[in-house]
Amino acid sequence: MDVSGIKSAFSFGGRRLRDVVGFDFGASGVRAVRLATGREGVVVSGVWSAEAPLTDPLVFPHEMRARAAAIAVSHPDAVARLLFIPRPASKLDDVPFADLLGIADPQAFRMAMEIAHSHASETHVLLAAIPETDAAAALHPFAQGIPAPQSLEVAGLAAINGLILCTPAIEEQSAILLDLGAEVATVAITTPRRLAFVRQFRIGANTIMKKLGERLGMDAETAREAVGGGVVDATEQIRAVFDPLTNQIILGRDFVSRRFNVRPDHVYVSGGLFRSPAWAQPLQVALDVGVTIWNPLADLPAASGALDAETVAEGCRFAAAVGAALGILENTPA
Amino acid sequence: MKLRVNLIAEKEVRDCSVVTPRFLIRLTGALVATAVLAVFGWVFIVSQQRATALKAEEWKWGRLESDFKQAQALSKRLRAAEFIVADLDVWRTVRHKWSDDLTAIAVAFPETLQLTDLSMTRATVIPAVVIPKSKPGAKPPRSPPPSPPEFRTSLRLTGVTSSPTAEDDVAGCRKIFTEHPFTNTVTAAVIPPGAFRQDPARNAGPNDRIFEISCTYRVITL
Repeated sequence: MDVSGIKSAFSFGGRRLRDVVGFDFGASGVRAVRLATGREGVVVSGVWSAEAPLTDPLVFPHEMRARAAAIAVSHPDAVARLLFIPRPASKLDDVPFADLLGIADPQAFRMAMEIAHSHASETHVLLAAIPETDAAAALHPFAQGIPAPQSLEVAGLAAINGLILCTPAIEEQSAILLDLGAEVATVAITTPRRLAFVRQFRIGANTIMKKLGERLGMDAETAREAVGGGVVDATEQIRAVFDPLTNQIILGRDFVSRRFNVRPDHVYVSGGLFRSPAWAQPLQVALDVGVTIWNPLADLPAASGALDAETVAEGCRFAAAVGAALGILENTPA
Repeated sequence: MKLRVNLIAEKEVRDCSVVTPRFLIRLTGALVATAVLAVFGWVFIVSQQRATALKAEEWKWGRLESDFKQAQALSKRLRAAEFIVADLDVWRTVRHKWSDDLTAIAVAFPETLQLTDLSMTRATVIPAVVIPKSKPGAKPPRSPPPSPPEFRTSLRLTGVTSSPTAEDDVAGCRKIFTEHPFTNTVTAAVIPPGAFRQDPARNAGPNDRIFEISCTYRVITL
């Protein structure tokens, strides 16, 4: 018997969620991070990952079962984009958002939007869309019991949101925020206290590593380990394979510079590839700005015994899961 | 500045609180409060309805009170009148038709007898109530209900005769009361002992006798 309706009716206005597990359903498996808020703020109380998709919730370890779940989904067809609509926020009803996002079949996608900024003549709308089948598959393991799903986000946006929440300095500066997933790269550019650019590109770590391996005559995994570990000096090849991504970022930066008259002076990156700092080097060179790698497991305090050094070193992989969970913790009513 | 776009549908969001003692206490408290409120509400509504009904009845009573008291007085008078009528009916029922008896006596009375006195007696007797004796220390027995009064009637005939067949004539005269119309009314007609005797008058002859016949009528219970 589902008593959630009765329970919510007697929650008397809602309670702040203090224990959330964030899930990242990605191309390379499932990653989960359990976060809890205490006197010392947000604390990591558990981390879990699996290579296979999570279809049976019973395989999920008991110590990771928080009451609430925040789900992030990455998919090549997922869309996240900041649009500038030349209308006030009250007159967006007939805007063809699906067309603007390049979605041919709107029925097959689940779309949502947040108004990032609005004034009389223009509204900045942050739009996200994921295939309905992927949304249903991600929510299926959480159809009953705990953890109970509270949010469903695009993984790239969740990761960047987590990055902003963990790095308050970003609010006051113009920065490029990059989440490099296995299949998709999400780029956001900020100006002080304003979101200026958000796009997703189908240039993921897998594509970059595949091209690098082809150039070096080795498979992608070997190229990742050899170049990332500094065994092979492949500066020119790395620059070449990163060029499509850096070019897109440069285009975005130029757009922001023209439109907002602000030039981003720092890059924050997250994603599993950046477990090795060497992969941030081509971005630093191409963009000619400082690069900071966001490792959420290193940034956030951890509960005693929750993390070991090896897991912390792998923390970049959990950016989307952490970001999704932080989004819940930050958005529940006080 | 947040990049959070929540794609979950409202119906897919489930409440994530577990059933805790606190929740059960709240639920129980809410149910008890609801029950208490319902009871108080019900009592309040019923009391209001009754107060309204009472006011309406009082208003009606205010209009009917004088008529009601008048009706009560009339009813009291009616009952008294009905008692009187009932008593009169009883008396009418038990009334004895002496004319029939006297006519029958006049027709059948022997010529040799001279009637000197005829007296009729009517009496209403209330039978005594016998209260049973109670044993010492025991609860006194309940006294029986009073018996209804009895209406008793008697007739006494006194006369003289000088007939040689006086004794037979007096006996024949007594026999009148065993025949119609006395058969249903007279229970006993006797010549009291010593009532048929020599006339004690000074100038009475040897054949002059006096006699007396007493008739007792059937007792009628009122």
